[in-house]
Amino acid sequence: MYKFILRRLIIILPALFLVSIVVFFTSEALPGDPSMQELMNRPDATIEEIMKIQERYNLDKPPLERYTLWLKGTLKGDLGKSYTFRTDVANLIKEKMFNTFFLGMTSLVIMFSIGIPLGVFSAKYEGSLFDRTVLGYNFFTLSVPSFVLGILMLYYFGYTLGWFPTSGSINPSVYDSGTQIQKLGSRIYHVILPAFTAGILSTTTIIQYLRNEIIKNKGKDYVKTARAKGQTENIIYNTHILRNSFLPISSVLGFYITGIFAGSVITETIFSYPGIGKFFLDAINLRDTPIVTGLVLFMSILTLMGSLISDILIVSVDPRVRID
Amino acid sequence: MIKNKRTFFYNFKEELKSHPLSMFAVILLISIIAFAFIYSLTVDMDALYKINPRGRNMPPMTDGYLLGTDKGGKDIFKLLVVGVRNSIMIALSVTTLSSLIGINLGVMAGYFGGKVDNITMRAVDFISLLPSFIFQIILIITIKNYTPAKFVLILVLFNWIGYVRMIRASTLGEGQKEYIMASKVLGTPNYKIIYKQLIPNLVPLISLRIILGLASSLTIETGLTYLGFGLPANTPSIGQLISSSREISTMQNYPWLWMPAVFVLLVMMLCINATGQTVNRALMAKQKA
Repeated sequence: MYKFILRRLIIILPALFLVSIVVFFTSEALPGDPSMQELMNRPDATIEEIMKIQERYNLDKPPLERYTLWLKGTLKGDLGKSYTFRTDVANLIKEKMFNTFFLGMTSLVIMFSIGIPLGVFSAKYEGSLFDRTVLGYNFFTLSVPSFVLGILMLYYFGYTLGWFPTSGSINPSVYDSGTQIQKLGSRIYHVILPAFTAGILSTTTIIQYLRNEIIKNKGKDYVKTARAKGQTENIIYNTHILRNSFLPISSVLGFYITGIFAGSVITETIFSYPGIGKFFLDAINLRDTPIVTGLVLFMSILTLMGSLISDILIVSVDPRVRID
Repeated sequence: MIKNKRTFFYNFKEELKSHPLSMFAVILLISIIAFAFIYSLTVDMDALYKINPRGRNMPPMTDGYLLGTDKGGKDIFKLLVVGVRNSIMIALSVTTLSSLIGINLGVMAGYFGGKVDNITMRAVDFISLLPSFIFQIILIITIKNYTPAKFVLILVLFNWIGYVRMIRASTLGEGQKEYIMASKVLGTPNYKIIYKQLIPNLVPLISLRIILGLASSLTIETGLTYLGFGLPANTPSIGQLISSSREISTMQNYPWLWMPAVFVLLVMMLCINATGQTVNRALMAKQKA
């Protein structure tokens, strides 16, 4: 097991290195110049002033040297300074991270609390009206693009009915002078719409996996044995079948971590939710190269980690999977 | 010789006959696409883009505008029809190009194995490690002289890998079968085995993958255009109509600007996926037989 993880890590290191090169040079190609932003209101700026600013961001050096400087900084946790906010990129990302993480976790809870019961009961009562309704629901969630669901949710629940806030992650007045409980309440109130948008659409995978797995296990010999022993149906389901059917879901979890951040770009933009997805688009529109580079690297590392985690989970929950 | 009637297309027709809803979805999808392509021919693009300051944001069914007008006084119905055609064209080109690249590379990787397989699969692994949505946005911003054709190429860059994975896996299975072995023993050239025997036998699977690929390309295209990183502003598309909802006043007060596009996109996605499910059922029926 440890050998397997170690081997995967060794494969990931060169991949990470390649990714860093691709990330750096594609983001570098973004049109954008810090001197333009800093001297925006000063048409009389001299060449020397422009050169000075370029020097501060190492833009006067050749590309290869800039890359090594950036890589050295990154390894120390320093992602450079933002062109527009003029503070550390790493700190800016950290601030937004919490919101995205909170959104991701809430949608994860929603995904499991809807997906697991629907999957389990549709498989238990295979072919019933309930099962067919769940299959219809699944077909619908599979077809709806996330931004379409997001827009409709925002329009009906946000604007038309006015049940939920239409932007932000917390009420500003609560943020300034509210108790911890009020703050948490406000955060949950703001996260519900985006989290439901992301969560409902992810239930498809859970339901499909769980339903297929349970139906497959229902016909297995060990279930017949349990039934022959005179075990009650409830015990057969809850301890024998379910335990075996939950295994494959864990492999989905790794990919879900990646999905949280990739999908956050669209969800957070629709609901104007200040997380790293919306931050990424803002940085792109501001042509703030250091932020873009930092965020893309961060998301690439998460994608790598996601695939590593799901590989490890598949092997560790199911010893039958060959390690090589 | 006994003629085997249970081919894939026979099963597909049977599935359509026994599921009226699937039949309806397939017919609806074909009608939407046909209508969009034929009606677009009658739309005068210059007249469509002429700004009409007197007729801004008119609600549906006024002054002969079936779906009303947008904030520039443009006919939403015409924008929507041309937009559907453009979005379908983009999705079709992305899917065609990616599947052509993916099928060829996938079959070769699975058939030849060794070095060819290694190089292809490492490239596939590497691209799949990148967060594709984010990279697509960055490439769209950085590329010079941005055109719809370049947009298609950027989408293809991240789209072909899915086809390779699937085709390679099924080639590995199919390549072990006796008829391929027999052809090899008889000395049939590799290209003939690949294009005359392997690929024709994979057509049912490929068609399923292509239909699902069409749905995902349509989602990615409209999603990117919605965010403002898709088709250029002077090309009508579904995503662009929907993106007018990003202005709060439009979302609240003029839902007819974006609601029809949302509805058409939803209907098309449902139809495409229903077609995919029918193909899938036909595939399973063939395997059972």
